[in-house]
Amino acid sequence: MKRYLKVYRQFFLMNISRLLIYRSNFINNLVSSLVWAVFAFVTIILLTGRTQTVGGWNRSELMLLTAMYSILIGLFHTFLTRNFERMPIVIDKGLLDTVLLAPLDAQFILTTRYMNFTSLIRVIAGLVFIASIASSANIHIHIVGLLGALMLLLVGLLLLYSLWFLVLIFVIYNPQLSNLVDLMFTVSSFGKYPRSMFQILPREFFLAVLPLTFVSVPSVQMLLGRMTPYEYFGLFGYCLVLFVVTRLFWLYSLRHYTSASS
Amino acid sequence: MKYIRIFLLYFQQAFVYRGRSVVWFFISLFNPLILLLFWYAALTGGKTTVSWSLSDVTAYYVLLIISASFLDIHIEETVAVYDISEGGLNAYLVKPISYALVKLCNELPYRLLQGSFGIIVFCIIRFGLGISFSLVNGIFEIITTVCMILCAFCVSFLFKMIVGLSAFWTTDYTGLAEMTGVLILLFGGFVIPLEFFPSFWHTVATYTPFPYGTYFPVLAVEGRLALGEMWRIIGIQLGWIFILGVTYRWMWKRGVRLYTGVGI
Repeated sequence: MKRYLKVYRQFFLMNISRLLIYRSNFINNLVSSLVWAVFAFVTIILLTGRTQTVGGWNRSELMLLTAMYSILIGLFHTFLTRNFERMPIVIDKGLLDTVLLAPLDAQFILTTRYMNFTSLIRVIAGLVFIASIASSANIHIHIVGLLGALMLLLVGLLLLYSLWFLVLIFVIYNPQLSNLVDLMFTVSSFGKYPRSMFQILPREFFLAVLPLTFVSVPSVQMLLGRMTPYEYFGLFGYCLVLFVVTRLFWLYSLRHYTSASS
Repeated sequence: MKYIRIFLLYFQQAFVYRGRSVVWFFISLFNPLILLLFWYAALTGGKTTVSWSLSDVTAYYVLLIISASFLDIHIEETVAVYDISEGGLNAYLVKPISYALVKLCNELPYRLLQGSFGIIVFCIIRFGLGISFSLVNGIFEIITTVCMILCAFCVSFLFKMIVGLSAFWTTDYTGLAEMTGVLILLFGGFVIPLEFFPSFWHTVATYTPFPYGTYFPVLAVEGRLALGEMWRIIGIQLGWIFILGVTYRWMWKRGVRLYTGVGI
Protein backbone atom coordinates (compact mmCIF):
# COMPACT_ATOMS: atom_id res chain seq x y z
CA MET A 1 0.00 0.00 0.00
CA LYS A 2 2.85 2.33 0.94
CA ARG A 3 4.49 1.65 -2.43
CA TYR A 4 1.27 2.56 -4.26
CA LEU A 5 0.93 5.81 -2.34
CA LYS A 6 4.54 6.65 -3.24
CA VAL A 7 3.86 5.96 -6.92
CA TYR A 8 0.65 7.98 -6.81
CA ARG A 9 2.58 10.90 -5.33
CA GLN A 10 4.98 10.67 -8.28
CA PHE A 11 2.05 10.61 -10.72
CA PHE A 12 0.70 13.72 -9.00
CA LEU A 13 4.02 15.58 -9.27
CA MET A 14 4.42 14.50 -12.89
CA ASN A 15 1.00 15.96 -13.71
CA ILE A 16 1.84 19.22 -11.93
CA SER A 17 4.99 19.49 -14.08
CA ARG A 18 2.95 18.82 -17.21
CA LEU A 19 0.56 21.58 -16.17
CA LEU A 20 3.39 24.08 -15.82
CA ILE A 21 5.02 23.15 -19.13
CA TYR A 22 1.93 23.41 -21.37
CA ARG A 23 0.50 26.66 -20.09
CA SER A 24 -1.61 27.51 -23.15
CA ASN A 25 -3.21 24.07 -22.98
CA PHE A 26 -3.91 24.75 -19.33
CA ILE A 27 -5.78 27.96 -20.17
CA ASN A 28 -7.64 26.25 -22.99
CA ASN A 29 -8.72 23.38 -20.74
CA LEU A 30 -9.66 25.82 -18.00
CA VAL A 31 -11.97 27.64 -20.41
CA SER A 32 -13.57 24.33 -21.48
CA SER A 33 -14.14 23.23 -17.88
CA LEU A 34 -15.62 26.58 -16.96
CA VAL A 35 -17.89 26.55 -20.00
CA TRP A 36 -19.25 23.09 -19.08
CA ALA A 37 -19.73 24.13 -15.45
CA VAL A 38 -21.72 27.18 -16.54
CA PHE A 39 -23.67 25.07 -19.04
CA ALA A 40 -24.75 22.63 -16.31
CA PHE A 41 -26.12 25.46 -14.16
CA VAL A 42 -27.74 27.29 -17.09
CA THR A 43 -29.42 24.03 -18.14
CA ILE A 44 -31.01 23.44 -14.75
CA ILE A 45 -32.04 27.10 -14.45
CA LEU A 46 -33.72 26.88 -17.87
CA LEU A 47 -35.34 23.53 -17.15
CA THR A 48 -36.72 24.61 -13.80
CA GLY A 49 -37.71 28.09 -14.99
CA ARG A 50 -41.15 26.86 -16.09
CA THR A 51 -41.82 24.12 -13.57
CA GLN A 52 -41.99 23.97 -9.79
CA THR A 53 -41.47 20.28 -8.99
CA VAL A 54 -40.08 17.32 -10.88
CA GLY A 55 -40.35 13.80 -9.49
CA GLY A 56 -40.96 15.16 -5.98
CA TRP A 57 -37.96 17.51 -6.05
CA ASN A 58 -38.49 21.27 -5.94
CA ARG A 59 -36.46 23.85 -7.85
CA SER A 60 -33.81 24.56 -5.20
CA GLU A 61 -33.36 20.84 -4.49
CA LEU A 62 -32.82 20.16 -8.18
CA MET A 63 -30.26 22.96 -8.28
CA LEU A 64 -28.56 21.50 -5.23
CA LEU A 65 -28.40 18.18 -7.07
CA THR A 66 -26.79 19.83 -10.08
CA ALA A 67 -24.24 21.56 -7.84
CA MET A 68 -23.39 18.30 -6.08
CA TYR A 69 -23.06 16.56 -9.44
CA SER A 70 -20.76 19.36 -10.57
CA ILE A 71 -18.48 18.72 -7.57
CA LEU A 72 -18.48 14.99 -8.16
CA ILE A 73 -17.89 15.15 -11.91
CA GLY A 74 -15.22 17.81 -11.35
CA LEU A 75 -13.32 15.46 -9.06
CA PHE A 76 -13.87 12.57 -11.46
CA HIS A 77 -12.56 14.56 -14.43
CA THR A 78 -9.62 15.81 -12.38
CA PHE A 79 -8.32 12.46 -11.20
CA LEU A 80 -9.74 9.80 -13.50
CA THR A 81 -11.24 10.85 -16.85
CA ARG A 82 -7.95 11.47 -18.68
CA ASN A 83 -7.00 7.85 -17.99
CA PHE A 84 -10.29 6.52 -19.30
CA GLU A 85 -9.97 8.73 -22.39
CA ARG A 86 -6.58 7.13 -23.09
CA MET A 87 -7.75 3.58 -22.40
CA PRO A 88 -9.03 2.75 -25.93
CA ILE A 89 -5.75 4.00 -27.49
CA VAL A 90 -3.68 2.09 -24.92
CA ILE A 91 -5.56 -1.12 -25.70
CA ASP A 92 -5.84 -0.61 -29.48
CA LYS A 93 -2.19 0.30 -30.02
CA GLY A 94 -0.89 -2.45 -27.74
CA LEU A 95 0.50 0.03 -25.19
CA LEU A 96 -1.13 -2.04 -22.48
CA ASP A 97 1.84 -4.42 -22.80
CA THR A 98 4.05 -1.89 -21.00
CA VAL A 99 1.44 -1.44 -18.27
CA LEU A 100 1.10 -5.19 -17.77
CA LEU A 101 4.86 -5.65 -17.51
CA ALA A 102 5.24 -3.02 -14.76
CA PRO A 103 5.69 -4.42 -11.22
CA LEU A 104 2.44 -2.77 -10.09
CA ASP A 105 -1.23 -3.51 -10.50
CA ALA A 106 -2.21 -2.78 -14.13
CA GLN A 107 -5.62 -1.38 -13.21
CA PHE A 108 -3.98 1.07 -10.82
CA ILE A 109 -1.54 2.40 -13.44
CA LEU A 110 -4.09 2.42 -16.22
CA THR A 111 -6.71 4.40 -14.32
CA THR A 112 -4.77 6.79 -12.10
CA ARG A 113 -1.70 7.97 -14.00
CA TYR A 114 -3.01 11.13 -15.67
CA MET A 115 -4.77 14.04 -14.03
CA ASN A 116 -6.43 17.20 -15.31
CA PHE A 117 -6.37 19.86 -12.61
CA THR A 118 -8.35 22.37 -14.65
CA SER A 119 -11.52 20.40 -13.88
CA LEU A 120 -11.20 21.52 -10.28
CA ILE A 121 -12.94 24.70 -11.48
CA ARG A 122 -16.14 22.63 -11.64
CA VAL A 123 -15.68 21.63 -8.01
CA ILE A 124 -15.25 25.27 -7.03
CA ALA A 125 -18.27 26.29 -9.12
CA GLY A 126 -20.33 23.54 -7.45
CA LEU A 127 -19.33 24.66 -3.96
CA VAL A 128 -20.18 28.29 -4.74
CA PHE A 129 -23.53 27.24 -6.20
CA ILE A 130 -24.36 25.10 -3.14
CA ALA A 131 -23.56 27.99 -0.80
CA SER A 132 -25.67 30.36 -2.89
CA ILE A 133 -28.68 27.97 -3.07
CA ALA A 134 -28.47 27.11 0.63
CA SER A 135 -28.57 30.78 1.59
CA SER A 136 -31.22 31.87 -0.92
CA ALA A 137 -33.57 28.90 -0.35
CA ASN A 138 -33.02 28.85 3.43
CA ILE A 139 -31.68 25.30 3.48
CA HIS A 140 -29.94 24.54 6.78
CA ILE A 141 -26.94 22.30 6.38
CA HIS A 142 -25.77 20.52 9.55
CA ILE A 143 -22.21 19.37 10.06
CA VAL A 144 -23.28 15.70 10.33
CA GLY A 145 -25.19 15.99 7.08
CA LEU A 146 -22.23 17.66 5.41
CA LEU A 147 -19.77 14.97 6.52
CA GLY A 148 -22.20 12.23 5.52
CA ALA A 149 -22.69 13.90 2.12
CA LEU A 150 -18.92 14.07 1.62
CA MET A 151 -18.61 10.37 2.40
CA LEU A 152 -21.39 9.59 -0.07
CA LEU A 153 -19.69 11.79 -2.64
CA LEU A 154 -16.62 9.55 -2.36
CA VAL A 155 -18.86 6.49 -2.66
CA GLY A 156 -20.42 8.08 -5.76
CA LEU A 157 -16.95 8.64 -7.16
CA LEU A 158 -16.07 4.98 -6.68
CA LEU A 159 -19.38 3.99 -8.23
CA LEU A 160 -18.77 6.16 -11.28
CA TYR A 161 -15.23 4.81 -11.53
CA SER A 162 -16.53 1.22 -11.51
CA LEU A 163 -19.17 1.99 -14.15
CA TRP A 164 -16.75 3.74 -16.51
CA PHE A 165 -14.18 1.01 -16.12
CA LEU A 166 -16.76 -1.75 -16.54
CA VAL A 167 -17.94 -0.27 -19.85
CA LEU A 168 -14.49 0.57 -21.18
CA ILE A 169 -13.21 -2.95 -20.56
CA PHE A 170 -15.32 -3.89 -23.59
CA VAL A 171 -12.72 -2.11 -25.73
CA ILE A 172 -10.53 -5.18 -25.16
CA TYR A 173 -13.13 -7.22 -27.06
CA ASN A 174 -13.72 -4.57 -29.74
CA PRO A 175 -10.83 -2.05 -29.93
CA GLN A 176 -12.68 0.09 -32.50
CA LEU A 177 -15.22 1.18 -29.91
CA SER A 178 -13.15 4.13 -28.74
CA ASN A 179 -16.31 6.27 -28.72
CA LEU A 180 -17.53 4.39 -25.65
CA VAL A 181 -15.72 7.18 -23.79
CA ASP A 182 -18.04 9.75 -25.39
CA LEU A 183 -20.99 7.54 -24.53
CA MET A 184 -19.92 7.48 -20.89
CA PHE A 185 -19.65 11.28 -20.83
CA THR A 186 -23.30 11.44 -21.96
CA VAL A 187 -24.56 8.62 -19.78
CA SER A 188 -22.88 10.00 -16.65
CA SER A 189 -25.13 13.07 -16.85
CA PHE A 190 -28.07 10.82 -15.87
CA GLY A 191 -26.64 11.16 -12.36
CA LYS A 192 -27.78 14.76 -12.03
CA TYR A 193 -31.49 13.95 -12.24
CA PRO A 194 -33.78 12.44 -9.57
CA ARG A 195 -34.30 8.68 -9.63
CA SER A 196 -38.09 9.05 -9.71
CA MET A 197 -37.79 10.57 -13.19
CA PHE A 198 -36.63 7.27 -14.64
CA GLN A 199 -39.37 5.13 -13.15
CA ILE A 200 -41.56 5.39 -16.24
CA LEU A 201 -38.90 3.58 -18.26
CA PRO A 202 -39.41 -0.12 -19.00
CA ARG A 203 -37.99 -2.27 -16.18
CA GLU A 204 -34.87 -3.37 -18.15
CA PHE A 205 -33.90 0.22 -19.01
CA PHE A 206 -34.61 1.41 -15.51
CA LEU A 207 -32.31 -1.25 -14.04
CA ALA A 208 -29.59 -0.24 -16.51
CA VAL A 209 -29.88 3.42 -15.50
CA LEU A 210 -30.33 2.72 -11.78
CA PRO A 211 -26.61 2.66 -10.74
CA LEU A 212 -26.14 6.14 -12.18
CA THR A 213 -28.91 7.50 -9.99
CA PHE A 214 -26.84 6.53 -6.94
CA VAL A 215 -23.92 8.70 -8.01
CA SER A 216 -24.90 12.10 -6.63
CA VAL A 217 -28.55 11.81 -5.52
CA PRO A 218 -27.73 10.12 -2.15
CA SER A 219 -25.28 12.85 -1.11
CA VAL A 220 -27.98 15.50 -1.68
CA GLN A 221 -30.52 13.37 0.22
CA MET A 222 -28.00 13.19 3.06
CA LEU A 223 -27.50 16.94 2.97
CA LEU A 224 -31.26 17.46 3.17
CA GLY A 225 -31.57 14.90 5.99
CA ARG A 226 -33.65 12.47 3.94
CA MET A 227 -31.43 9.41 4.15
CA THR A 228 -31.96 6.45 6.45
CA PRO A 229 -28.98 4.47 7.90
CA TYR A 230 -30.32 1.42 6.04
CA GLU A 231 -30.00 3.24 2.70
CA TYR A 232 -26.64 4.69 3.71
CA PHE A 233 -24.94 1.39 4.46
CA GLY A 234 -26.79 -0.37 1.66
CA LEU A 235 -25.19 2.03 -0.78
CA PHE A 236 -21.71 1.30 0.58
CA GLY A 237 -22.35 -2.43 0.10
CA TYR A 238 -23.74 -1.93 -3.42
CA CYS A 239 -20.76 0.16 -4.41
CA LEU A 240 -18.31 -2.38 -3.05
CA VAL A 241 -19.99 -5.25 -4.88
CA LEU A 242 -19.93 -3.31 -8.16
CA PHE A 243 -16.25 -2.52 -7.68
CA VAL A 244 -15.41 -6.19 -7.06
CA VAL A 245 -17.47 -7.29 -10.08
CA THR A 246 -15.62 -4.76 -12.25
CA ARG A 247 -12.28 -5.95 -10.93
CA LEU A 248 -13.13 -9.59 -11.68
CA PHE A 249 -14.36 -8.69 -15.17
CA TRP A 250 -11.12 -6.80 -15.82
CA LEU A 251 -8.99 -9.77 -14.75
CA TYR A 252 -11.09 -12.11 -16.87
CA SER A 253 -10.97 -9.79 -19.91
CA LEU A 254 -7.20 -9.48 -19.76
CA ARG A 255 -7.09 -13.08 -20.97
CA HIS A 256 -8.69 -11.86 -24.21
CA TYR A 257 -6.24 -9.00 -24.72
CA THR A 258 -4.26 -9.49 -27.93
CA SER A 259 -1.12 -7.47 -27.38
CA ALA A 260 0.85 -5.64 -30.09
CA SER A 261 3.27 -8.51 -30.59
CA SER A 262 1.05 -11.58 -30.24
CA MET B 1 -18.50 12.38 -61.06
CA LYS B 2 -15.30 12.20 -58.98
CA TYR B 3 -17.18 13.49 -55.94
CA ILE B 4 -19.81 10.77 -56.36
CA ARG B 5 -16.98 8.18 -56.33
CA ILE B 6 -15.49 9.80 -53.23
CA PHE B 7 -18.91 9.82 -51.58
CA LEU B 8 -19.42 6.12 -52.36
CA LEU B 9 -15.98 5.28 -50.91
CA TYR B 10 -16.80 7.10 -47.69
CA PHE B 11 -20.22 5.43 -47.73
CA GLN B 12 -18.50 2.03 -47.66
CA GLN B 13 -16.24 3.24 -44.86
CA ALA B 14 -19.25 4.36 -42.80
CA PHE B 15 -20.62 0.83 -42.93
CA VAL B 16 -17.33 -0.85 -41.95
CA TYR B 17 -17.50 0.15 -38.27
CA ARG B 18 -21.19 -0.31 -37.61
CA GLY B 19 -20.63 -0.81 -33.88
CA ARG B 20 -19.08 2.63 -33.63
CA SER B 21 -22.00 4.14 -35.54
CA VAL B 22 -24.47 2.54 -33.14
CA VAL B 23 -22.58 3.98 -30.16
CA TRP B 24 -22.58 7.44 -31.79
CA PHE B 25 -26.31 7.13 -32.31
CA PHE B 26 -26.85 6.21 -28.66
CA ILE B 27 -24.99 9.37 -27.71
CA SER B 28 -27.34 11.52 -29.78
CA LEU B 29 -30.31 9.52 -28.46
CA PHE B 30 -29.65 9.79 -24.74
CA ASN B 31 -29.56 13.58 -24.38
CA PRO B 32 -33.02 14.26 -25.85
CA LEU B 33 -34.34 11.15 -24.10
CA ILE B 34 -33.33 12.33 -20.63
CA LEU B 35 -34.86 15.76 -21.27
CA LEU B 36 -38.03 14.09 -22.49
CA LEU B 37 -38.14 12.14 -19.21
CA PHE B 38 -37.64 15.40 -17.31
CA TRP B 39 -40.59 17.05 -19.06
CA TYR B 40 -42.71 13.94 -18.67
CA ALA B 41 -42.11 14.05 -14.90
CA ALA B 42 -42.71 17.82 -14.85
CA LEU B 43 -45.90 17.78 -16.92
CA THR B 44 -47.49 14.78 -15.24
CA GLY B 45 -46.54 15.39 -11.64
CA GLY B 46 -46.05 19.10 -11.06
CA LYS B 47 -47.23 22.59 -11.82
CA THR B 48 -45.80 24.15 -14.96
CA THR B 49 -46.29 27.33 -16.94
CA VAL B 50 -45.50 25.58 -20.21
CA SER B 51 -48.09 25.98 -22.95
CA TRP B 52 -47.09 22.77 -24.73
CA SER B 53 -48.90 19.50 -24.03
CA LEU B 54 -47.09 16.26 -23.22
CA SER B 55 -47.73 15.10 -26.77
CA ASP B 56 -46.12 18.28 -28.17
CA VAL B 57 -43.05 17.90 -25.97
CA THR B 58 -42.75 14.20 -26.89
CA ALA B 59 -42.95 15.02 -30.59
CA TYR B 60 -40.33 17.75 -30.17
CA TYR B 61 -37.74 15.57 -28.44
CA VAL B 62 -38.38 12.53 -30.64
CA LEU B 63 -37.87 14.67 -33.75
CA LEU B 64 -34.85 16.22 -32.09
CA ILE B 65 -33.31 12.73 -31.92
CA ILE B 66 -33.59 12.42 -35.72
CA SER B 67 -32.51 16.01 -36.20
CA ALA B 68 -29.46 15.54 -33.96
CA SER B 69 -28.55 12.36 -35.83
CA PHE B 70 -28.82 13.93 -39.27
CA LEU B 71 -27.99 17.59 -38.76
CA ASP B 72 -25.51 17.64 -35.89
CA ILE B 73 -22.28 17.60 -37.89
CA HIS B 74 -19.05 16.29 -36.35
CA ILE B 75 -16.46 17.13 -39.00
CA GLU B 76 -14.51 19.66 -36.91
CA GLU B 77 -12.29 17.08 -35.19
CA THR B 78 -11.25 15.48 -38.50
CA VAL B 79 -10.41 18.89 -39.94
CA ALA B 80 -8.60 20.28 -36.89
CA VAL B 81 -6.80 17.22 -35.53
CA TYR B 82 -6.24 14.73 -38.35
CA ASP B 83 -5.89 17.17 -41.25
CA ILE B 84 -4.38 20.36 -39.84
CA SER B 85 -2.54 19.32 -36.66
CA GLU B 86 -1.31 15.92 -37.85
CA GLY B 87 -0.66 16.95 -41.45
CA GLY B 88 -3.33 14.92 -43.23
CA LEU B 89 -4.19 18.04 -45.24
CA ASN B 90 -1.17 17.40 -47.50
CA ALA B 91 -3.07 14.66 -49.30
CA TYR B 92 -5.84 17.10 -50.25
CA LEU B 93 -3.64 20.04 -51.21
CA VAL B 94 -1.86 18.12 -53.96
CA LYS B 95 -5.07 16.85 -55.56
CA PRO B 96 -7.37 18.74 -57.97
CA ILE B 97 -10.33 18.57 -55.62
CA SER B 98 -12.20 20.93 -53.33
CA TYR B 99 -11.37 20.28 -49.69
CA ALA B 100 -14.83 21.35 -48.50
CA LEU B 101 -16.60 19.07 -50.99
CA VAL B 102 -14.42 16.09 -50.02
CA LYS B 103 -15.23 16.73 -46.36
CA LEU B 104 -18.91 16.95 -47.29
CA CYS B 105 -18.61 13.57 -49.03
CA ASN B 106 -16.87 12.30 -45.88
CA GLU B 107 -19.55 13.50 -43.47
CA LEU B 108 -22.71 12.86 -45.47
CA PRO B 109 -22.68 9.02 -45.31
CA TYR B 110 -22.33 9.12 -41.52
CA ARG B 111 -25.22 11.56 -41.24
CA LEU B 112 -27.39 9.40 -43.50
CA LEU B 113 -26.57 6.31 -41.44
CA GLN B 114 -27.22 8.09 -38.14
CA GLY B 115 -30.37 9.69 -39.53
CA SER B 116 -31.68 6.26 -40.54
CA PHE B 117 -31.13 5.02 -36.97
CA GLY B 118 -33.12 8.05 -35.83
CA ILE B 119 -35.98 7.19 -38.19
CA ILE B 120 -36.00 3.62 -36.80
CA VAL B 121 -36.37 5.00 -33.26
CA PHE B 122 -39.12 7.34 -34.48
CA CYS B 123 -40.98 4.38 -36.02
CA ILE B 124 -40.60 2.35 -32.80
CA ILE B 125 -42.02 5.21 -30.74
CA ARG B 126 -44.74 6.13 -33.23
CA PHE B 127 -45.92 2.67 -34.30
CA GLY B 128 -44.41 0.28 -31.74
CA LEU B 129 -45.37 2.22 -28.62
CA GLY B 130 -48.37 3.83 -30.33
CA ILE B 131 -47.48 7.38 -29.27
CA SER B 132 -49.09 9.68 -31.82
CA PHE B 133 -48.15 13.26 -32.59
CA SER B 134 -48.85 15.70 -35.38
CA LEU B 135 -46.47 16.11 -38.30
CA VAL B 136 -46.27 18.54 -41.19
CA ASN B 137 -48.88 17.93 -43.89
CA GLY B 138 -49.67 19.45 -47.25
CA ILE B 139 -47.45 19.05 -50.30
CA PHE B 140 -46.09 22.63 -50.30
CA GLU B 141 -45.33 22.48 -46.58
CA ILE B 142 -43.49 19.17 -46.99
CA ILE B 143 -41.39 20.48 -49.91
CA THR B 144 -40.57 23.65 -47.96
CA THR B 145 -39.61 21.58 -44.92
CA VAL B 146 -37.23 19.49 -47.05
CA CYS B 147 -35.67 22.73 -48.38
CA MET B 148 -35.28 23.97 -44.79
CA ILE B 149 -33.60 20.71 -43.71
CA LEU B 150 -31.12 20.93 -46.61
CA CYS B 151 -30.32 24.55 -45.74
CA ALA B 152 -29.94 23.54 -42.07
CA PHE B 153 -27.44 20.88 -43.08
CA CYS B 154 -25.40 23.49 -44.99
CA VAL B 155 -25.48 25.92 -42.03
CA SER B 156 -24.31 23.21 -39.59
CA PHE B 157 -21.67 21.89 -41.99
CA LEU B 158 -20.13 25.28 -42.78
CA PHE B 159 -20.12 26.30 -39.13
CA LYS B 160 -18.32 23.12 -38.04
CA MET B 161 -15.83 23.47 -40.92
CA ILE B 162 -15.01 26.97 -39.66
CA VAL B 163 -14.50 25.64 -36.11
CA GLY B 164 -12.16 22.99 -37.55
CA LEU B 165 -10.22 25.54 -39.61
CA SER B 166 -9.48 27.52 -36.44
CA ALA B 167 -6.75 24.93 -35.85
CA PHE B 168 -4.63 26.82 -38.45
CA TRP B 169 -4.16 29.53 -35.82
CA THR B 170 -4.28 27.56 -32.55
CA THR B 171 -2.31 24.61 -31.17
CA ASP B 172 -5.33 23.25 -29.34
CA TYR B 173 -8.75 23.97 -30.80
CA THR B 174 -10.73 22.18 -28.09
CA GLY B 175 -11.51 25.33 -26.06
CA LEU B 176 -13.30 26.92 -29.02
CA ALA B 177 -14.91 23.62 -30.03
CA GLU B 178 -16.33 23.05 -26.55
CA MET B 179 -17.56 26.62 -26.28
CA THR B 180 -19.36 26.47 -29.63
CA GLY B 181 -20.64 23.00 -28.69
CA VAL B 182 -22.29 24.43 -25.59
CA LEU B 183 -23.79 27.32 -27.58
CA ILE B 184 -25.22 24.84 -30.10
CA LEU B 185 -26.75 22.80 -27.28
CA LEU B 186 -28.35 25.87 -25.74
CA PHE B 187 -29.40 27.92 -28.76
CA GLY B 188 -29.97 24.94 -31.05
CA GLY B 189 -32.89 23.90 -28.86
CA PHE B 190 -31.20 20.76 -27.56
CA VAL B 191 -31.89 21.60 -23.91
CA ILE B 192 -35.37 23.12 -24.15
CA PRO B 193 -37.38 24.56 -27.03
CA LEU B 194 -36.42 28.21 -27.56
CA GLU B 195 -40.07 29.09 -26.94
CA PHE B 196 -39.51 28.23 -23.26
CA PHE B 197 -36.55 30.64 -23.01
CA PRO B 198 -36.91 34.03 -21.33
CA SER B 199 -37.83 36.46 -24.13
CA PHE B 200 -34.46 38.27 -24.12
CA TRP B 201 -32.49 35.04 -24.59
CA HIS B 202 -34.99 33.85 -27.18
CA THR B 203 -34.26 36.99 -29.20
CA VAL B 204 -30.50 36.58 -28.73
CA ALA B 205 -30.72 32.97 -29.97
CA THR B 206 -32.49 34.01 -33.19
CA TYR B 207 -29.57 36.31 -34.05
CA THR B 208 -27.15 33.33 -34.03
CA PRO B 209 -26.90 30.59 -36.68
CA PHE B 210 -27.53 27.80 -34.14
CA PRO B 211 -31.36 27.54 -34.15
CA TYR B 212 -31.34 27.49 -37.96
CA GLY B 213 -29.28 24.29 -37.89
CA THR B 214 -31.61 22.12 -35.80
CA TYR B 215 -34.37 23.92 -33.91
CA PHE B 216 -36.42 25.41 -36.74
CA PRO B 217 -36.28 22.25 -38.91
CA VAL B 218 -37.72 20.32 -35.94
CA LEU B 219 -40.55 22.85 -35.58
CA ALA B 220 -41.18 22.65 -39.33
CA VAL B 221 -41.40 18.83 -39.30
CA GLU B 222 -43.70 19.06 -36.28
CA GLY B 223 -45.98 21.30 -38.35
CA ARG B 224 -45.68 24.25 -35.99
CA LEU B 225 -44.63 26.77 -38.63
CA ALA B 226 -46.87 28.44 -41.21
CA LEU B 227 -45.72 28.39 -44.84
CA GLY B 228 -44.79 32.09 -44.84
CA GLU B 229 -42.81 31.70 -41.65
CA MET B 230 -40.96 28.73 -43.15
CA TRP B 231 -39.89 30.76 -46.18
CA ARG B 232 -38.75 33.59 -43.92
CA ILE B 233 -36.57 31.13 -42.01
CA ILE B 234 -35.18 29.67 -45.23
CA GLY B 235 -34.25 33.24 -46.24
CA ILE B 236 -32.36 33.69 -42.97
CA GLN B 237 -30.71 30.29 -43.45
CA LEU B 238 -29.53 31.35 -46.93
CA GLY B 239 -28.15 34.53 -45.36
CA TRP B 240 -26.20 32.46 -42.84
CA ILE B 241 -24.97 30.12 -45.57
CA PHE B 242 -23.62 33.16 -47.42
CA ILE B 243 -21.94 34.64 -44.30
CA LEU B 244 -20.45 31.31 -43.21
CA GLY B 245 -19.41 30.45 -46.77
CA VAL B 246 -17.53 33.74 -47.16
CA THR B 247 -15.93 33.29 -43.72
CA TYR B 248 -14.92 29.74 -44.62
CA ARG B 249 -13.25 30.86 -47.89
CA TRP B 250 -11.47 33.70 -46.12
CA MET B 251 -10.15 31.40 -43.39
CA TRP B 252 -9.17 28.68 -45.85
CA LYS B 253 -7.17 31.07 -48.07
CA ARG B 254 -5.26 32.56 -45.13
CA GLY B 255 -4.98 29.34 -43.20
CA VAL B 256 -3.39 27.37 -46.02
CA ARG B 257 -0.65 30.02 -46.23
CA LEU B 258 0.11 29.46 -42.55
CA TYR B 259 -0.03 25.68 -42.79
CA THR B 260 3.25 23.83 -42.39
CA GLY B 261 2.55 20.25 -43.38
CA VAL B 262 4.90 17.33 -42.82
CA GLY B 263 7.13 17.00 -45.88
CA ILE B 264 6.07 20.29 -47.50
